[in-house]
Amino acid sequence: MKIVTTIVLAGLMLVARADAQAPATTNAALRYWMAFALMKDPPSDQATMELFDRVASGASAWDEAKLGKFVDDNREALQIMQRATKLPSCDWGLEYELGPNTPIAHLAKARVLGRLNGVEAARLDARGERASAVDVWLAGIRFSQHVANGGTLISLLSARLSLSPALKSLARAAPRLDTSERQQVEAALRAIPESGFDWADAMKREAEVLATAKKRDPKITAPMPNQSSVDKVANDVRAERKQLLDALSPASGAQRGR
Amino acid sequence: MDDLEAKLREFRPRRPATIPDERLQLLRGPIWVAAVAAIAAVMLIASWIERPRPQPAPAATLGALTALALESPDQLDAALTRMSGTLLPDVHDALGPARQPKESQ
Repeated sequence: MKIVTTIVLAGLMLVARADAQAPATTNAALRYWMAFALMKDPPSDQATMELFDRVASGASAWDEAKLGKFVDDNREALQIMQRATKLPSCDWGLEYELGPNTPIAHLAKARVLGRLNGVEAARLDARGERASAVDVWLAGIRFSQHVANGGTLISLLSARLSLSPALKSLARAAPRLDTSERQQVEAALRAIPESGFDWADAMKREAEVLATAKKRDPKITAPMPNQSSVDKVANDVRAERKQLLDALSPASGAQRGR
Repeated sequence: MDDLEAKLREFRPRRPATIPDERLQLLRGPIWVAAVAAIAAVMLIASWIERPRPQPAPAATLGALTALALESPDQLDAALTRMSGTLLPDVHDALGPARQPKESQ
């Protein structure tokens, strides 16, 4: 009897231990929603947005007086987001069966958080914390991939708004990066498609969503995106990625050294 | 004689000056002030009417945002940004001192 009791107790302890060590979620989308909930939106007026975008893409210098407060206010949200970008998957759980009525509110939140991430990287770079700045820029690249994941064209277009500033800023910073940082950036770039995202897959999903919605309600009408417009955006992102790769290449460094 | 006539022709008939009206003089200041105020009010109203109104944010749905991205791609970024501020309540405000439940005494 004692032996049976011991075996049962040992079994229960093993089960309890397994529960305690249950793996954390691998779905980054859940963490991103936590970050969105904690995010404090900066003012959305045109002038503020333009300043954010210029600084995030490296076209303007960091302005602590105007932007520092917004980064400080969103420190927790940004940290959650940056950690989440390292998770292996991102499933937004979109209800595509609703067709054009599918809620995609995450794209708006993601746009603002992506912009804040870009200006945080600019601040770190301005402070001379280059390695941390590179980490944040790379988090921005991974975040854009997660935002686009499983999405239709609008997801990719929104994600592109976060990807492009990171690519441009890294291209500007490339001459100052050390070998290890260059390798890090190059690895991150090789991990994404040449044109930034899988545009063909998004167009296919766009058509599928429309077809499914039409089956449910034949009255639904929604225009299919123009392929040539999509190709143009894809080519722009391809050029931005290539520009960064060129800036990272040893030949580029040799030319600078001359 | 001719000189005298020429001299006299130099004179022209003139209306005599009006006799000063003290009541009108007293009103002159306020009339100007009222006129300036009226012009300022008209300009203010005109500028308010002509002021560009912020575009209402589209619905946060696949159809609405895709249509915006296809028809006005340059407006997508601004629309997403405006929309973001309206989607979730600010938890910092919600947990602020004004809304915290009072401790039982």
